[in-house]
This record gives sequence, structure tokens and C-alpha cells, in this order.
Amino acid sequence: MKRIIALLLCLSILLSLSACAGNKDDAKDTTPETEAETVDLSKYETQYPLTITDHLDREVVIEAKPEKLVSAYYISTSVVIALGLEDKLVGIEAKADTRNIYKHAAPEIVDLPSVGTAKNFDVEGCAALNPDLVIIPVKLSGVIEQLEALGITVLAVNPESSDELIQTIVMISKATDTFYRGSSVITEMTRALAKLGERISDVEEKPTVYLASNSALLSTAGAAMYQNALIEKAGCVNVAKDITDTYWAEVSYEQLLTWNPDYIVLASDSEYTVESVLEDENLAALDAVKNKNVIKLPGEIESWDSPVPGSFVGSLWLASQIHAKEYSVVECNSVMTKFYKEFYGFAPDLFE
Amino acid sequence: MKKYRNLVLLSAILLLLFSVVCVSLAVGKFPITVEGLISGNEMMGRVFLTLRLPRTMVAVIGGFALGIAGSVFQTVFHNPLAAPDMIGVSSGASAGAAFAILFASGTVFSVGLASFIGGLAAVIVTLLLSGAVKNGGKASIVLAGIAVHSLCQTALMFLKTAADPERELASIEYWIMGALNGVSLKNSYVNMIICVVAVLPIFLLSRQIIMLSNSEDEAKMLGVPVNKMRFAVLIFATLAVTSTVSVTGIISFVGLLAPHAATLMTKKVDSFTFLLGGLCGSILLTVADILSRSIASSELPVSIFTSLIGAPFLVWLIWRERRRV
Amino acid sequence: MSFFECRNLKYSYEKKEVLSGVTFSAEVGELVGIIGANGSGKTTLMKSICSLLKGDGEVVLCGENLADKSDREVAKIISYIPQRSGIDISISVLDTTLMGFNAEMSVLSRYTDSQRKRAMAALEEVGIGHLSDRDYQSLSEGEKQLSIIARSFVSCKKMLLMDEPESSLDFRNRNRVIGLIKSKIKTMGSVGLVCLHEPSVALQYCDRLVLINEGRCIAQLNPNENKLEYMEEKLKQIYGNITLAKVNSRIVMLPDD
Repeated sequence: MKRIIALLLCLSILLSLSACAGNKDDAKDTTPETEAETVDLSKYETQYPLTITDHLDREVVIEAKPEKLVSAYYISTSVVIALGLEDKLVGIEAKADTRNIYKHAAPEIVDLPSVGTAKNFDVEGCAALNPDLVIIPVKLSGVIEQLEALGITVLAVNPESSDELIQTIVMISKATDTFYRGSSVITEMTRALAKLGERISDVEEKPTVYLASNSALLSTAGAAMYQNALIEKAGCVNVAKDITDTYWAEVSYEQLLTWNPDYIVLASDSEYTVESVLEDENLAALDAVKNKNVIKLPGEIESWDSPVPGSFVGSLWLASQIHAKEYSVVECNSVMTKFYKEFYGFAPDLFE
Repeated sequence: MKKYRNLVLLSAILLLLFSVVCVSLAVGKFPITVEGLISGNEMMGRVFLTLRLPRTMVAVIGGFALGIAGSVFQTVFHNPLAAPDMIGVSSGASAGAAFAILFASGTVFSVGLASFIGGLAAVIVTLLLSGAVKNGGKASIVLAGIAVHSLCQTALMFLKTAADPERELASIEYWIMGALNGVSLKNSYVNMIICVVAVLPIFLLSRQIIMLSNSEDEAKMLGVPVNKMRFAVLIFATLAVTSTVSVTGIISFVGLLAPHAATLMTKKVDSFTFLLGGLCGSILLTVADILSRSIASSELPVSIFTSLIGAPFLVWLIWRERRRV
Repeated sequence: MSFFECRNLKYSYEKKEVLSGVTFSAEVGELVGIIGANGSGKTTLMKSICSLLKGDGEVVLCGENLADKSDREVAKIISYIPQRSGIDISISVLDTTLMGFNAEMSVLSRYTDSQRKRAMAALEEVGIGHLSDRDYQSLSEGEKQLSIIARSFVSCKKMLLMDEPESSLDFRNRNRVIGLIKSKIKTMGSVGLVCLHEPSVALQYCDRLVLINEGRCIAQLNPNENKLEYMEEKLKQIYGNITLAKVNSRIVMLPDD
């Protein structure tokens, strides 16, 4: 009885989330779902026609279950794969060959026609694919009018934070009648992070972390950026949390020396190496350099420093490096393997 | 009378520069105190010598170079709106930097080297191109400069489209806006030496540069080897500019404003005006850099402040002159 | 041999022959007026003589062929005064005058006090000593012209070349200035070549007139020696129906209606 109530509770929270998808208020954290003995899948089925409010507050009407999808953003493409819909993709964003996750999970989509970048969308090319649903980032809002004029249904998503990622997963899964799988993804994410949170809750002094961007060491993420959440969930403090920029912010060597972070974490696609940081004369005085606590976020699977479904693994990994006593690499590996096997269909290489 | 007036002006400007330098040495994210430095605090000393001081030096020397280069360009091209950009130095350096960011992993060294070579190469191509035109004179330099500038801008556009918007593009844009946040002793001292070495001949040749303000025929008949002098002076000015921007990125407005500020103060152009122009450039860039590192929690591009300070100042100077007349 | 000789001077521009072989000579202390219609090649002749334009033919000054000299050496012995100076920056009048010393200075040297004194003296000579500290740009056209004339007076040159110097001077100043140039030429021991717009001015002041028509020197006139009818005949070839008259022992040219 308790379990069914717990399940219904979960379900109602998720359903209420989907009803106000696009609402930018903080969504309530879902409570961890306990294993249900019987799952009534009919409750998860989508009834068409379905109206969704997307991240631009547009009322999008999905007439029928979409069979052909176009995703113009690498985050939504990852969501689509996680939902098991890769076979329905007919067009994806440009530079797909640079995304490792596609190589692992759905190598054939790399050859799909490209509909352009986040700055440049190919409306005609997209229309030629005759899609049932086009998922775009809100940055591309300019093309909505043109696409709708051609009778194409467009869903605009803005996954720039964990809550918005969850909303995006809900939106896309509801639209494609994969809501059960979608909520499973969300549950898994939330549960793993909750568990991590429990383990490190007793740690008194949270170590400080400086996250360096892909482009340069002296470029970091402030409190308003997703990377900040990644750090905090891993039980650390972002030295740059007082920076209010909503994009990567430049700092000086002096600033870095003043902060003196315990750890320096390089973003996964950084051009420069850990060695170059350790060898930089100007940083020799930093604790992190002296103790060789300079690490690079792994990127062989996905760019975990952006809100992709698997990005929570980034926090798990970071915790396993920094809070090794409380959270082991073995545990990180097991959660990661389960997640990617279940939702992406491949077994990732394990961390040592 | 004139000498006395010049002395007063020079003292005032030097005093201003000195104050600004003191502020620049005192402002920064790392807590440095005079007591700490005197008592031999190692960390403070290190940060001061390898970061704080070099950053201020780059602002002073770089600003000086840009100011003097501006004077040279405005005189040689008979154009009060001339800036070092005219013959391709900025666009060449930008293209070089973008190239390094994309293909040489954008390290400080590679970007510095590539932008230095890019700026210098662009100007050399401009001068060679114009030299190929018989009796072209300064008009052909300007025309060649436009051509080279367009070529470099095209290359830059190309490089920008190839750049990953998540990584490289931001770096390129930031470099183009100019910043001194990454300046350290190691990555700037060579450039600053080159800069000083390039600025010196400009001073020594200031009398000749002023003579280039005559029409070409006049200058030739007054005994000025016009083509050679112009070439030499432009190369020195370019070296000064390019050695600066390869450390700081493109800094706008200083080369345009500083000479005019100096002319408005001295009323007439002579060697002293050149010196003053350089000093005004130093002051402008140092103040802009102080603001770029202290106004917000993160470092802001320095060109925002050179323009923000420069424009109203110029308006004020002009307004002051209007009322007198 | 004459102090100055130019033989068979030719110059072509874009396949068009602007100078088709000009020959004339002049003696020391003479003021030679070069006159001709617009487009006859006067300015080109002037520029060819001082090597600003490189053409064919010989130019010999004080027995030395100018073609053998470098640009700098030419600048040391010839002074060129354009119609209008190209100086477009704010510079003191004294500094513009000091520029006249450049040809004899090394590239890196600065003006000396004695040079400043001589420059001031030159400005006084042309009558604008009181303007020495003013901004050149603030001067009237006439004053600017006087300033660059003073510039050509500061050091001793063998030849003064002037391109229509009277064009920006008013009547009174024109008189004074040309008289000044004439006496300066004599004291400096040089020859003056002046392109003149107004033939009357040439007839009044010049010791020799060189008539240029269609790139050729069609006559050399000497107002002090030649007969009026002879000069009239030659001048008619350029100016059409004109008549020469003597007024107070000065010659004027009038249109013949």
C-alpha cells in the first residue's frame, strides 16, 4: 500500500511538472522512487492531441505521435537518444561527428543531414526532411515563424539548468509518448544525486574548486552557470560563485592566486592540458598545483559540464575524485554503467 | 615662454601618469600591501613582480606605443581620423590570433607569436603592394591598406565560422576586444622590449615625420627621402603596435584619441606633441585597465573603457576650445 | 657656359608627350619667367627641371648635370616653392620656415638656435615676423605663401623654383614679394625660375621670359632688350590678339579688341 502511494505520489509530481512545463519556477525535487511491483504504464501514455507549453511559453499542439524528429541542439539530441528515439531522428545539429556520445550510442545518426548550428539554422533543409516535430534551442526562436508557416510543429527548449533539463525531458517524452522512459531517466538522475548528497552530507569543510573553461584557463563559470551546480552537487564550493556573469567570465592570475582553490578542474573539451597548468610558472604558488590537484573532467562519453541527461555523472565523478572516502570510483562506475546501459544502450569504459 | 609652458604641461601630465600608475599598482585581486612588500612577504613579492607590475608596465608602455603610433599615422596619412588600423595591423593581428586559437591550441605563446607576425605581415604586404604602384604616393598605401584589411577580415570571418561556438569563438571575440588579464612577466617582457626599441626611432625621427605633413613634392624638395622615410616610420610604428596587441589583443581608440588630446593641449605639433601623445596613451590605457579589473567581479574587455573614457574626454577638449574662440 | 641650362627636355605621361624638347638658359641673378597657356606644360617643365619628374634631356646648373645628383643633393641646391603648401597640421609658422634647413641637416639632428635666428630673419624679410608663433593653419592664403617663401630664403640655394607665387598674393604684396625675390636672387647668387600666370607680371619683373606652347619653348624674350613688336609677335602665338604697351617704362600686355 505504502509503495503504491509512493508511486502515485511520484507520478502526480511528474504529471504536475509536465503540466507546467515551461514554467520557470523551481520545480520541486522528485522524491526517490521506490521499486514498484506493478507499474501501470497506461498512466504514462500520451493522449493525442497534446498541448505542451514550451520554454518560450508557447502552446504547442502535437496532433499525433511524431515519427520523424529533428533535433537542432546537442542536448536535446542526447535526450532523444536517452528516450530511445534515435531511430526516429531524420535530422540533427551540425558538427555531430564531434560528439562522442553519438559514436557510442547511436553511430548512425552522425550521418544524418545537418540542420545547422545554434546560430545558423537551415529552414529549407529542415523542411525537406518533412519532420513531424522539430526541437530547437530557444536561441533559434527566430526560425519558429518560418517553420510554422510551412506547417511544421516546433518545440523550443532551454536546458540551461538542472530544472530546465528535467522540464525538457518531460516535454520531449510526453510529446513522443515515451513518458515512462523519460520519468525513469529523471528518477535515476535524481536518485543517484540524492545518494551522493547523503554520503557527503557529513563532510564539514567543503573543498574549493576552480572550474576552467574549454577556451582558456583564465575563463571560469560563476554562480549563474550550470557548471556551478555541477560543482556544488559534488560537495564542493565554486571559488567563482560571486561572479554574476551568465556566461564564461574572464579572471586574472591574481584573482586565481587570491582564491587559491583546493582543486582545479578543467572542462572536458579544453584545448590545453593538465600538464600545461602544472607547468605554468604563474600558478606555481597555488595549493592545487603544489598538491597536483589539477584534474580534467572526462569527456569520452559526453560533455558533462553542460545539462545533458548524463551530466549528473560528472558530479559523481568529481565527488569520487575529491571525496574519495565518502564516494568511491567503484560506485560512480556502477551508477554510470547502469545509466548508460539502460538509456543509451552501451557500456562505457570504467574509471580507475 | 613656450619652453616654460611646455615644461608645466609635461610636469602635469607626468604627475597624472605617476598617480595613475600608483593606483594601478595598488589595485588588484590579490591582497598586496606596502608593509607586506617591505617586510619581504614572499608571496606578495612574487605576485607584485610577476603579475601586478608587468600588467601596469604593459598598460603604460603599450598605451604609449599606441599613442605615438597614432600620431605617426595621422601625420603621414594627412588624416586626423587615421589610426594604426588603417594599413591592416589590427586585422592582420586578429587573423593571426584567430588562427592560433583554432590551430595551435590557443596558448598564450602561440597567440602572441601569431598575432605579432600577422600584424607585421599585413603591413609589409600593404607597403610592398603600394610600392609596386609607380608614383603612387600615400594614396596607394591607403588603397593597399584597405585591400589588405579586407583580406584579413575575410580570413578572420572564415576562421570564426570554423570556430567552435562553445569554445574557440568566445576566445577569439574576447581577444579582439582586448584584455590585460593574462599578462605576466614571462609572457610580456620580450614584447615590451621590442615595443620600446620600436618607439625610440620614432622619437628620433619626429622632425622628419612632421616634415612629411608637407605635400610629397614639397617634402622631396626639402630633402626628405619621402618613400623611404614613410616606409621606415610606418614599420617602426607597426612594430610598436603589433608588439603591444600581441600581448593585449586589439585595443581601440587609444591610437585615435591620444594624438588629438596632445595637439589640443600643445596647440601646435612638434616633437613634444609626440611625447605628450604617447603619455596620454599611457594614461588612457592604464586607467581603462584599472577599471576593467575592478568594476565587476570578473575581468571586462579593456576596449570598453578606452572608448568610454576617451570619447567624452575628447568632447570636453573640443568644447573647451570652442568657448575660447 | 650659362649658369643654368636646360637642353631638349622631354617628358611623357601615359603615352602623351607633355614636353617635346624644351631648351633655354639663364644667367646668375636672373629672374626667369615661364609663361604659357594652361596645359602648355609649365608646371611639368618646372618639376622636370628639379628632378621631381624624371624625363629625358639635360639640366645643367653651375656646370653640374642634375641627373648625376641624388634627390638630397638636388634639394640642397634647388628650392621649390609650390603654389600652395600641403601642410595640414597645426604647426607654428617659425617651424614651417625652419623646414628649409632640412636638406643640410642630418636626419636625426634638431634645429639650432642660430637656425632659429635665421628663420626669424627670413620671416622679417618677407614681412610676417610678427606671425612667427602663430598656427600656420590660421594664416590667410597670402600669409601662408609668404611663409613658404621665407622657407626658401633660409639657406643659400643656387636656384629658386616658384610655381605661380603671385596667385594668392594681393596687389600690394605681389609687388613687394617679387621685388624681394629678385633682390634675394642677386644677393644669394642664384637664378630664379618662376611660373607665372599673368604675362604682365612677367614682363614687368622678369629679366627673361621663356614662352612655352604645346610642350615646346617657342621663344626666349628679354624685356629690357627686345623690341616690343618682336615680343608682341611671339606672345601672340600663345595669347592670340594682344598688344604690348609701355607705361612709365614698364611693359604691360593688353587684349587687342
